[in-house]
Parts: sequence; structure tokens; C-alpha cells
Amino acid sequence: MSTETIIAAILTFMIWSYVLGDNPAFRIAAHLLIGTAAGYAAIVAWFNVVQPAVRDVLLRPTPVAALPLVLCALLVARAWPPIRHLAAIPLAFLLGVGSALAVGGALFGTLWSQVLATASLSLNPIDAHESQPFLTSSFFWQNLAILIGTLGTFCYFTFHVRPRGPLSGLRATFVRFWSGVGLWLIMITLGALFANAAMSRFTLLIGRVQWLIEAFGLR
Amino acid sequence: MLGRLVSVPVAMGVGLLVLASYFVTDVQLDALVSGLVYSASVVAAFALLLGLVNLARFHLARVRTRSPESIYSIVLIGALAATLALGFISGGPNSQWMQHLFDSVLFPLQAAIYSLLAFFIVTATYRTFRVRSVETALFVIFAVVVLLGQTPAGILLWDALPMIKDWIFDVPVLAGTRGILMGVALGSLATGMRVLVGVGRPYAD
Amino acid sequence: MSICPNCGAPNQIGIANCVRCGVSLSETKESGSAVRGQQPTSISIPSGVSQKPTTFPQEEIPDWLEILLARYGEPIPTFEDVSVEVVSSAAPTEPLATPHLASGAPEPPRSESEDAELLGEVERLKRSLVEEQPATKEISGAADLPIKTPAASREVDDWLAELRALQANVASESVSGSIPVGPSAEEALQGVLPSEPVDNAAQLERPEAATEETPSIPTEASLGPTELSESVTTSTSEEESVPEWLRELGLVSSEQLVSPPSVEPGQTSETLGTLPMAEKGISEVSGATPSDEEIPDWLKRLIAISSQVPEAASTGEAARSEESGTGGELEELSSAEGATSGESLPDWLRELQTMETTQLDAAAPPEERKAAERVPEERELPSAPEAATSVPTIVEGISSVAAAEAKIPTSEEGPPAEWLAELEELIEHPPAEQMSPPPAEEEVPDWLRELAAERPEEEPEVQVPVEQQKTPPLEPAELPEWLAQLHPGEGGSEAVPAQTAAVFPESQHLASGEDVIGTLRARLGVPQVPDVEGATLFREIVSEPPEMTAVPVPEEVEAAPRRNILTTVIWALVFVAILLGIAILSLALLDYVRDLLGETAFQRFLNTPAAAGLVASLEEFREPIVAVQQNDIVLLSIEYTPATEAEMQPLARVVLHDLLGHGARVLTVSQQPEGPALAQRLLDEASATYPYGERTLNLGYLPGEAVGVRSLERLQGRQVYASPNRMCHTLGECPTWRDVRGIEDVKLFVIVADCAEPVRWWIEQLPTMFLGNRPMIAAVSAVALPTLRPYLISASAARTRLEGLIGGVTAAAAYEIYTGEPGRALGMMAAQSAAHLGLFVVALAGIFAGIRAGTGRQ
Repeated sequence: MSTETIIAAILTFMIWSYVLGDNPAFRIAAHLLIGTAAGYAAIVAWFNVVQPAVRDVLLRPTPVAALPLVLCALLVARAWPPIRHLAAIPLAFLLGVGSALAVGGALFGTLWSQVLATASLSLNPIDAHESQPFLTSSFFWQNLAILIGTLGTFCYFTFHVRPRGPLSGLRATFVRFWSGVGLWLIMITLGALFANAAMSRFTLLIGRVQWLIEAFGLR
Repeated sequence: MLGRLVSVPVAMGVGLLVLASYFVTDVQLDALVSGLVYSASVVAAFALLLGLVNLARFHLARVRTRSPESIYSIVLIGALAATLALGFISGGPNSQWMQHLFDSVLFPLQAAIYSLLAFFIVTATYRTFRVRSVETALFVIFAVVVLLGQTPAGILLWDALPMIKDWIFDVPVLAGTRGILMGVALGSLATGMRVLVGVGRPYAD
Repeated sequence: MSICPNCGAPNQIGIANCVRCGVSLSETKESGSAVRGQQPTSISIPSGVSQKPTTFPQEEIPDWLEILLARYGEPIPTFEDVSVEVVSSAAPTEPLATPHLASGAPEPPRSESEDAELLGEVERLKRSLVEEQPATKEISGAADLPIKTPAASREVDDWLAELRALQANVASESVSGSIPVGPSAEEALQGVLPSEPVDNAAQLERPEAATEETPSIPTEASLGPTELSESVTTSTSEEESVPEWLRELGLVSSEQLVSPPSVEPGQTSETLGTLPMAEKGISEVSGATPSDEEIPDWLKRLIAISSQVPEAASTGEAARSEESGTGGELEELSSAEGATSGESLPDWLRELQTMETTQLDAAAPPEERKAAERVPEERELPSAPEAATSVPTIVEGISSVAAAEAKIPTSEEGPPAEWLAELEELIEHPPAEQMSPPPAEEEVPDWLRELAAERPEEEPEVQVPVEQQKTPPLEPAELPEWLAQLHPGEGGSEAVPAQTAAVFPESQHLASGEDVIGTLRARLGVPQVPDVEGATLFREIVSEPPEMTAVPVPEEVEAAPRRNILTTVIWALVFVAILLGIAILSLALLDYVRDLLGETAFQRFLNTPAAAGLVASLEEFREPIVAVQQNDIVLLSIEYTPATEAEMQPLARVVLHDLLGHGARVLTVSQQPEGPALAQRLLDEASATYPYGERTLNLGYLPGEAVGVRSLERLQGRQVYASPNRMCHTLGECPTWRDVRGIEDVKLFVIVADCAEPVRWWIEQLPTMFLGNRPMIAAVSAVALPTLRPYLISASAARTRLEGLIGGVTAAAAYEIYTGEPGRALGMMAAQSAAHLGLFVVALAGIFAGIRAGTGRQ
């Protein structure tokens, strides 16, 4: 049993002691985790991203290469109150790029594909190479269920304001019906998600226990 | 203030340029956007370093004020300092010492802390699986079916469980998650547009 | 006897309205004073007449004259055409004679130069009168006085006639007892008022002669009644060139100029009237001092009567401030005497000064005001100085009359010595509370009337500073009820907390804030809606006997017991023992469990139709991998952390091995800081078969989520995480990877993620990074599987879609079986199945507990 194994085992038990309740061992282990993870992330970020950027500027001093470092320097200004306002520039730069990517990705990556997929749902059994009539075709009912469920879930997430104006009662009833359908679909989805999450977490515990067993040479 | 004056046009200008690359296919535009995106990734990594400084300041303050939690802050600061020193001295995260640190400290701690979730899943299962309404009944039924259908143990109870589980994933779960994804996408769209048009300014103090 | 200030008619004490004009006496006390208060100007008696006659409006009649006339029941004459120099000084600030008044030091006697100035002024006046007004109206009566112009002379004659009539009335009333005036006063008054008609011309000449003489004001004490009368009568014969009225006004001998009285402590010298022209007149006239004979008797009497100003001011003394001019006049008269007498101002003048100071105290209670009035009244006229023999008779007559009247005390008067002391005290230390006298009913506004009606019977304690204790105890004023409630001990006000009282001693006398608010609310009439129903309900609830109700007892959450380190260690050891026991037991039953739930069962499961879905997804996932050509670049994204390594590592390993097995060159990236290290583990594990740097390369960390994915466009310049050799620091520097120019050279994107977000970033950003389609497959954890399924079943027209999706340890186990490389996933299947069964049992227990709780509730 190596030193790494011993340390790892001790730390594992310190974390698992939380099952018995909050205690100083768990807190020490948790703070150790935070400090180590933060330091490791900083090392990776520096050696893998920032240092190469600095090297690029030194080797090929171009405005494009210097732009990231200039922005990083402005970001450091946040520490001094007189020039703190300059830190807003790199933050704005970062948020501008990130927002644009999020908008474009949401628009073309998710919305377009999902709307297209929902719209292309065929209710015709012939498209599934089935010869059954509509009412007995599983293809038909499946796609119909998918269509209704998708619309209902979308209504549930999107429409929250009570309709006003002409035909407000009819519109409210319409929205309420579809939101109810969506709620049922969401509950089904959440149940499936819960089961899968339980399965995933059990896998983590099983993996950890298996490691301990192997570490203690029981297997 | 110069920063506040310039930040809004910077965010809007850069964002609209990047967004334009989704609609316009142009080599020069793509090259410009590529440079902007690369700069943003460097800034994001550097921001992570600054977040580290903020973390250290917080815990140093706790140590200075000698609060009851200061002992833990000392541990955190010590671990942080040791990791940084080890990383910079050894020459990077792929060094041997950093690997040892990763294998002996970081890895087991993270693995163990997530494995605790299994215990809470059990207690959560006992509390959540109480049927109070139609919705909770749906939740319970489908959760049990999916749970049993994932593993061969379900076959011991009912052979059709895995097929039912597949149908659940193919029809209702698909519909539900598709609606959820579209809703999340709309939300991301609205939030991103707020920044691009200058209405939302989370970068300004 | 009370004099109506409006018409001057005498009225008996106690009468509310004047018998002549009907004005309310209590009201007109204020209004009359207010009317007089409007008189900004005063008459400069010694200075006499100016060259340019000025009109003398009704409201500008000096107070002392009004009072005099009012006392004797004569209407106040109009002096429209009286050419008297009007000195505009609403509130003369300078003392009459010298600045010594302000300093409080006794003023020295007037110099002869000042007397000469006064006499000179009189002479000039006389000359002007002679030139402008040759004819004067014959004075018909005692009340008539010679005037400059025919009309003025006519007015003066009327005035003198009125004065004579007043004298007669006084005499008659004194006989009846209504006017407590002594015979000496009557004689003095007779002396004041000339009994014979005076030659106007002679009278007119008098002012001229008077200008040559130093005007002097006789002191009251300096003249006896007879002397005053004699002086008045004798003066008329001698001064025929100067108008008599003027002479009478201005004939003051310099010898009789007395030093003005010293300023009493507490008195403000600013209020003492100052008469610049009088001073000038006094200063110009020097040397010559008018004799007693030169001062007409009426003037002397007027002066004497003017000493009764405080008494007459009982009709209304609120406007004493406007009488400062009058006081200044009298002070001037007194100053004229001061030079000759060598003593302080005459008493009557001094009394006027003190009265003026008390005018500042506008809210003086009636008692105080009467005390102030007593100052000039009750004061005994001091003995006349030797030089008083030359005091004009008129002044002496007035003084004697005032003295005579002053000698008779009224019911409201107190001991003569006390009032002065009281007055001084009042001046120096005005009491804390000043209450104005009750106004007349007609004038009282409704709110004030209500205020008076709310006055409590008992009067609150007046908090008077210690230094004010010397003042005589005043009758406590009646406070309104709302104000009285603010005092502790009255009206139910709460006591101020001891702590607050200790810090703020003055707060002891203050009620609590709620009381103040309540009383103010009551005063303002804010309706207070009492919650009667609420109070009744509360009473009912409280009075009800306690009932035994089935109150659900809340679940008591026991506080976690404090554990020390030793206890924690002990419990940790117990826990470890339990785990080991389970593990040992599981190992003992491993074969049986393995056959039932483990690998064998799983293999059997895969061969059943129930596993069709799993198998289909697996085949769908492997299809792009199988399609990879030799040396195709495949980008493998390791998007999990050590926390989920137990579930993801088997899946990542089997995928990597499958890729490498199909001849692909795998580049690994990660958007997690710990991802490169985990990827390196995988690559190092596979490096035995697939050397690192040739078939695999770790490109490290991609920060920024979607930004990091997009930054892969610059693939060639990416920093290598673990350099295989010294030359390979970036992808472009590595020899075996120089053919990779950019992202478009990647043939397949494989994402191994423990959550759905990284996969979504890749799905959304990747298609825009290059033209054409690139397959993308994802191996995720079980928790992310349902969320990413819509991307799998996307329309074929959409570029953003997954070609294959698998997830969970079950898929990893199945993949291991497909590749023929059993790994950790397959070994976890037994435990996984057992965990699922155990969770199912827990779920059943929860369901039954819920049903039981539901039935129990029902």
C-alpha cells in the first residue's frame, strides 16, 4: 500500500464521516479539497493558457496576440479602486463574446433543430413503413404523444402571464389545458431523471468502495 | 468613468461581430471572430486566477479576525499555497509532484464527496416517493419503472421492464426534455440579447 | 375709573362697554393700544415748531396726551394743522440726551451748550410763527391752546377747551368720588389749564422766545401744584412774542434740565425714546433757561398727568413699543430737567422708561402688566430739586397731578416698593410661562375659545428655573387639557423609562411618544377608530377555558449532539467496519450474486429482447467509430471530473480503446481543469499499445465553456498538456501531428461528459466552425442521458445533432462486452443491480409510508 493510497483512504474516510454528522474531520477535508482544487485549477490555467499567450506575444508581437494580455492587464485593475472601472472593459469583452455565442448556439443549435424535429414528426404510418391505420399505428400515437407533450411542456415553461383582452377566458383555458399536459410530461421526465440520477450516484459509491477494497487488498 | 463608458460599446460591438459570423460566411470575418474568441478564452483563464485571489482574500480575512472558522481557513490557504508552490516549482500540472498531489489528494477527495450523494439519494427516495397527487403518482411510477429497467435486476421482476423503460425514454421523456430544451434556449436567447443590445450590463458595477 | 381709549370717556370699573361709544373696554384695551401702536411718530415737545407745518393725523397724537384727555373725558383733538415738528422715530434707539443711558451710568447733567441749543431752537420757532402766523385764535377755554395757523389755532383752542373741560370733569368726579384725585391734583390741573383766554399773538410769540431759552422739563417733584399753576399763569404774560402754546410746549429752562435717570438694570435703553430735534434744540439753546413762569401751567399739568400714563395704560398697554416715542418725549423733558436739577430723570419720565421696557414683554400677564403700570403710578414723587423752581409750570402741573393720583392706591395696587422690585424682576427674568390676558369674546377665535374651555381645573406645575424663583409666585395658568396631558402624572401619561430619564433629565416632564401622538391626534381631530370588535373578541378568547384540542405536535428536530474528535473517530471506525462487513459479505456471496445479478446475468440480459434498445443505441453510437479510417483525427473531449470518474472512466476508456482500435489518432481536450489530468491517465494507460504522442496527444484545458469550444478553431497553435518530447510544445510542433491544420481536419468528435451542458456547448458551436457535417457522438452519465436524447432524435436536416448517444454504467458494461474487453463497468453490474433493488425497496417503503400517512390524516 503506497503513501498515496494511504492518504487517499484517510481522506476518503474523513469525507465519509459526514454520514454521521457534520464534524471537524469532514470540514478539514472539505477545505483541503477547495484549496487544492483552486490551486490546481490555477496552475492548469496558467501553464496551459496564459503562459502560451505570453509566449506568443513575446515571439510574435502582433496586436492580435497582444490583445488578450492587454485585456488581462485591465482586469487586474479591479484591485485598485481609482482604476477599478477599467476592469469593466475586459469583462464586457468576455461577456459580449459569450453572449453572442450563447445566442447563436441557442438559436441555431437548439431552437432550430428541436423545432425542426418537432415539425418533421410525421403522423402518417406510411412514413414508418407501416400499413396499419392511424388509430392502431403505434407510430401515429407515439408521434402524436411526442407532439402533444412537446407543445404542452413548452407552454408550461413559457406562458405564465394570464391572458388579457378579448377572448381572455378562452385563451386562459387553452393555455391552462396545455400547461397541465406539460406538467404531466414534466413530472414523468423528472421521475426518469431521478431514477437515472440515483443510478449514477450509486455507481460513484460503488466505484469508491471498489477502490477501497482493491486498496486494502481484499480483492 | 472611462471604463463604464467604453464597456457597453465594447460588449455590443464584439458581441454583434461574433453573432454576425453565424449568419455571414466570410473568411476575414471568421478570422477576426477567431481572434476575438481566442482572446476571450485567455481572459476567461486569467479571470480564474483572479477568482483565486478573491478566495484567498476572503479566507485570509477570516484568519485575521480569528473567527471560529479560521482554523479551516488556515487549512484552505495552506493547501492553496502548497499546490501553487508545487505547481510552479515543479514546472506545471503534468509534473510528477503534481500528479502525486492529484492522485493522493484531489482525486480521492472529489470522488468521496460525490459518493456521499448515494446516501442522500436513499433518504430522498424515501421522502419523495409519497404519493400525494396525480403528478407525484406519475413521478413515482415512472421513476420505479426506469430504476428497475436499467439493470438486469428488473428482468427478475418483469421481463418487459426494460422495454417499457425504453418507451418511456423515447416518447414522454423525449417530449418533456424537448420542451425543456426549447424553453432553456429561449431563456438563453433573451439573456444574451439583453447583453448584446446593452440593456443588461452585468459587467458594470 | 377706566378710560375708554377710543373716545376717552371715563367709565366705571367693571363696565364692559363704553357708555359713550359702546366699544368693549377689554377689547379696546388691546385695540386702542394697537391703534396707538401704529403711531410711528412722536411729537417733539421741546423742539417746538418747525418752519414747515406738517399735518398731525389723528393717530399720531402722543399717548400721554391721549391719556390725559381720556382721563378727563374729552375727545382726542385733531391736530391736523398743528405745525409741530414731527420726529419720525418709531422706536428711537438713541437715548434722549447722551449715550450714558445706554451704558447704564447716570447721565451727567446737561451742559449749558445743550440748553442754549434748545433755547435757540425755540427762538427760531417763535420767529417762524410770527412770520407765518400773525393771527392766532383767541384761546377761549382752558382746553384751547394757541396754534400757529388759524386752523391750527382753532384746533389748539379746541384742545385747550377740552382740557379745561376735562379739568372740570375731574373736579366734579372727584367730588363724587369716582375719580380718586386729590385736591392738589385739581389745583395742579387748574394750573395746567389757563383760566383766562390767552392772547394768541402772545402765545405765538412764545415759541420764539422759547427758542432763546433752554427748554427744561420740570420734574414732578420739583413743582408743587400751586407753583405749577403759578408758573403757567405767570409765563403767559411775559412771553407775548412767542405763541403761547409753543411757549408752553417749549419753555423749559436749562436749569431745569435734569439728567436723565440711570438706566435700570434690565431696561433696554434702546427703547427709550430719543428725539434728535429735541436734542438739537436742547443743544442749541444754551444758557438761557426758562423760568418757572415761562412754562405754562397746562404744560406742567400735562407733564404731571403724563406721569399717570401707566395708570391710563391699563386700558391697553400692549402697544408700549410704539410709545417709545412718547417715552422719548418724556425722557427729553426729563433730560431738560436733568441739567438743572443735577439728578436723574424725573420720576414720571423714569417710570415711562421702565414702562417702555416692559412693553417688550407683550405677553405679560395682567398682574405683571399692572405691576408695570404701578411703576410710574405708585412711585412717590421724589423731592424736587432746588432747581425745580424754574421748571415749567405745565410740567409741574402734570407731575403734581400724576403724583396726586398716584398717591391714591387702587384696589389693584400693591405696596409701592414691591411693584418696582417686581417690575425689575419681571424685566430681568421674565417668567417661563407668559399668558396673554383673556381677550374679548368677540375677538376670541373659535379655536382659542375651545382651548380656553379645555383648560383643566387644576393647573400643572410650572417648571421655573432656579434663578426665577425670586419672582413672586404667579397664579398658575390654565393649560389646555391636551397640553396638560403631556405632563407626567396627569391625564394618564406614562412615565418615561428610568433609563431615558436618567440620560435626559428633562424628559421626565415629558410624556411618552405615544401619549404625545395621542394627544396631538386628539387635538387635530384625527379620528381614532377603536377596534371594539377586536377587543371584545380578544376578551372572549381570553376568558374562555382552555380546550383540549388535537394540535398536531410538530416534529421535534433533535439538535445534533456535539461530538468531539474522539467520538467522531470512533464512529468513523464503526462505519468503516460496517462497510467492510458488507464488502466481505458481498464477496462471500459474490459468486451467487454474480450469477444472479452480475456479469453473467447481464450477458444473458443483452441477449434478450429487453435489451434491444440498449443494443441499438450502442450500435448507433459505434457506427461513426467504425467508420473512422486509419489515422483519422478524432477529437475526444473529456468532460468529467474525478468526482464522476468512477462512472465515466469505464465509458471513456472503452471508447478510447475502440477509437484507437479502429486506427484513429486521438486528440484529447477538456473544459474542466482536472480533465486534462484524467485524459492523461487514460492515454498513459493506453500508451502501452498506442504510444502517447503518436497516436494520442493531450491538448489540455479549454477555458470559457462555449468560448473554449469555439477557440478550437485555432487548433494548430494549441498548447500540448504533456509534451511527449522536448520539441512538441504545440500541436504544430509535434512531428506526427503537423498535418493537422485546423478543426476541419478532425473527422469525428467524441464527447465523454458527466452532464448535459458540455455536450450542448459542443453541439451548438461545432457546426459553425467548419463547413460541412462532422459526426458527433456522446457518451454521458446516466443522469445526462434523458436530457440529451432530443439531440439524438433530431431532424436529419439539422446539422446540430448527435449521431450516437449512450450513457450510464449499463451502457459501458454493454460496450465492454461488445469490444470484448471487460472492465470495471462489467464488474460493477452486480453491485449496481443490488443497489437498484435496494432502492426499489426503499421506494416501496416510502410509498407505503405515504399511504399510511394519508389514511391517518383522513
